[in-house]
Amino acid sequence: MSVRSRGRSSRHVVDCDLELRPLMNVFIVLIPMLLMSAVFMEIRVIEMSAPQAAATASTQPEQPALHLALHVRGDSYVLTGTGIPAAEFGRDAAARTGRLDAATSARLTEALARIVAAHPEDHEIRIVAESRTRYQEIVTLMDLARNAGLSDAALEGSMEDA
Amino acid sequence: MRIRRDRSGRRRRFSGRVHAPSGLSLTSLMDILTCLLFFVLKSFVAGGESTVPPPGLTLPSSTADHAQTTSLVVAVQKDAIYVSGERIASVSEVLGEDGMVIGPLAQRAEAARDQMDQLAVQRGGKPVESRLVTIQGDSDIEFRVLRKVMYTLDQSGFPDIALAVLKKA
Repeated sequence: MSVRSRGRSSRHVVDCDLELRPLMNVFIVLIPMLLMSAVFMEIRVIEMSAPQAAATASTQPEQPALHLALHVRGDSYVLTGTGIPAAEFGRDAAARTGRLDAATSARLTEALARIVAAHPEDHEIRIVAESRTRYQEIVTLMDLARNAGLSDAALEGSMEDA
Repeated sequence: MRIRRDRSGRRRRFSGRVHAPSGLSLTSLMDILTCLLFFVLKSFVAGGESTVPPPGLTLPSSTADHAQTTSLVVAVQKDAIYVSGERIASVSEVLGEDGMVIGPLAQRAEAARDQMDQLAVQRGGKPVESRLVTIQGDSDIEFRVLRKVMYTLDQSGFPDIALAVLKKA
């Protein structure tokens, strides 16, 4: 916007536009700097309890009635609990790559969901991992348990490793 | 030929009346830059620099949805263990030891615990009873490393453990 004033003797133009160029310069420096230092990863956390030493497992206080546990074995997962028959699931892909395949994930989720439906008061599960079990596999198993309704997962080392 | 003469004549006639703005209009560009600046500022991780995993560490992906809070951060890479960005032990050394407690990690965790307690007392409160530690573990580390780290932290006064993960899209 410019205001043009016309006097009888003089004629001058007053420029009322904001001087934005210095601010622009600051922004142009600031934005790449912020973009370079920004972190766009969405980091979340899984809150949990520390693993119990296998040797001291028998001295732990009273456990919930179901004692649900998912054991990671060499080539299989074994789901155990008080009053439920042990169920075994293949672990070929995860043993090789550390990542569960979709079919095993679906079967495990289904089995866990059935147990949760039968015992809605229990939300605890122990994931009993082997020494060489990969961290990603453990996190995936915890995800499956949580998605099935078992929100309180604890990690434990297997007896063979103790 | 005739068309061209007509156009040039029209241009001459209008040239006296139309005044094109001489300066560059920066207002719309400023609007874009302002929006961009606020977006970038909002995208910053609130927890500070120590919550960002060190380079080379790939966090496991998960469907967990708990936001992280400020805490002591222990990063477990494939080859070394870091506390608040400082390397304290190598994984091979840790695996070579027989016991479950990692000595240097225990020392650092106890120092951090004492510091937290002192800060709490200086602020007029009691020493903190429940202390949280966040473990940033590489997705490929083995459970035997993670178990030692978790056990050491538990023994050093950090019973509450949060495992940092990348949220699945």
